[in-house]
Amino acid sequence: MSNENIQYQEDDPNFQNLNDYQEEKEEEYVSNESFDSSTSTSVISWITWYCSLPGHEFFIEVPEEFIEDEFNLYGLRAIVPMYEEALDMILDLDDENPPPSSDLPKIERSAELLYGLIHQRFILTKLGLSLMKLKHKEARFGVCPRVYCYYSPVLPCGMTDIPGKVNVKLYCPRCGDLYTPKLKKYKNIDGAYFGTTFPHLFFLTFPELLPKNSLANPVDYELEEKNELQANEENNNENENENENENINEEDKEKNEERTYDIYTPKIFGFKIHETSQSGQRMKWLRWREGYKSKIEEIKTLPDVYTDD
Amino acid sequence: MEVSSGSDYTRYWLEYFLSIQGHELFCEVEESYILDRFNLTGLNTEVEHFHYALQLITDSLEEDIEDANLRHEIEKSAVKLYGLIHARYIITNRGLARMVEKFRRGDFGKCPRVLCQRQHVLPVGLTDVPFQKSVRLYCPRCEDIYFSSNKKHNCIDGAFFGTTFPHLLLQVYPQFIPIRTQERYVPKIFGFKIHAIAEQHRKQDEVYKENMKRIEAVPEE
Ligand SMILES: [Zn+2]
Ligand SMILES: [Zn+2]
Repeated sequence: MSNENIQYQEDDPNFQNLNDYQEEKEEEYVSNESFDSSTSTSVISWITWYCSLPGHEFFIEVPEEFIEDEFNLYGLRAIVPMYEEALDMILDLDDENPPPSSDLPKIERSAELLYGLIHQRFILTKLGLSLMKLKHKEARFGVCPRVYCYYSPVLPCGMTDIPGKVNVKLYCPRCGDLYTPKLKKYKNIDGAYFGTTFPHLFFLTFPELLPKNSLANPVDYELEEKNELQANEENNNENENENENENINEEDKEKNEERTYDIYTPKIFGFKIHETSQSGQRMKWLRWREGYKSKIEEIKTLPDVYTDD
Repeated sequence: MEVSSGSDYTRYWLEYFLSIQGHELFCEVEESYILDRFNLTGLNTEVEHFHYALQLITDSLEEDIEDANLRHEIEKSAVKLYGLIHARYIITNRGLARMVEKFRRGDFGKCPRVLCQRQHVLPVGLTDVPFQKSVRLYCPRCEDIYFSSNKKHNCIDGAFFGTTFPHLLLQVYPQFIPIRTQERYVPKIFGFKIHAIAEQHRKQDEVYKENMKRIEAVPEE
């Protein structure tokens, strides 16, 4: 991703700087009693509380052992203001000399930033990846909004690793594209808390979780067809009863949807719009991939009558 | 909602219909269009209780329908009838003009694809046959179709918009065709490209070049 691509995202009106975003959240959850997390009376840990807030469903709980290891926090002290106090808050440690309560909003903001940056690092570790895998398996991050991705589960993804720039996006491994989360509550979540590397390291670690026909793993349709023919012949040789055949057909249907990869073709009164027309297709390359073959037979091109001139 | 133009009285049924959540995708079909029987050719066989339904949507239902079941069926038919008339109307010049205004305002929503930069989308059907598939959204920038982020749209019939509408609109109003770029999302791990995906991107670029060559080969008129 080039810098230019990221630039325009920064003036995304859905995303304010961290300060605005904190204020908005305070308003939103002001009725939430557990918001006053700084008091040591709360029974649940700060991390559990933080990850259970509405909109924070994409986060996983980073184990305290990971945070207590100074090595994992290397370099964060320079980025996070009131680092010590923020770290104490995250780990629910009581200070002998508690900071003045006027500092609390600042510390809360810092704790959030610090936790986000630790989270970005943790989800790239073996344990972090496997915890995210559990969420992915239940499609807890949602599914791709693209119709022809057939509800492929997505993963949270940042467009930059620098906090306070771009809100979280969703990466679909099937079309290899980025999407804006559809629920408003995710629009104020910082993408840097997930980072640019996470979804891609995820599929490098768990290649078996890549969908059947993903951009990184396109289906070779010719080979598929050959295999299918062979399988069919074998099936025909065995004299199966009809009921069983029906079951197989149902299974085949499901498999087909998994394997199918379609590209949308705009049509006017059933005719494909001529390529050279001003409104003709220019973006077919975007969804194209090796081995792609439209199952729909070549549709007649729109006659000249309808092309604009 | 659109202010009804051309009619000097309230259209009660239509107002109610357009006020339902999710129905902001529909435009107001002119009454004169509905009352012209020529525009409704064939719909009397497609819609049950056609005459009652037509009377209902034009606020001219005179009989009191006592039977609750029948009343309910007529209400259902009215929605179907209005939807099918709508599908025909929005591909007429006047219908397109109303819809392009809604498109400009962003009434239909925005493309979820990050690189489309909140491009306004258009409603589209996957089929022209009613009660098959719910409405989808067509983005003229990436030329792809998406599910709406508004749950209410999942129960709106795509055939009430049809397969032709967004493409005809862009052909009639080419000034609304956005600039289509070669921008794409490039996945990276610690700043490094992923080989398998980079390979597909390279081949996509070839498809793009071939496409452009064919377009440029056509002599300008
Ligand atoms: Zn997708
Ligand atoms: Zn788009």
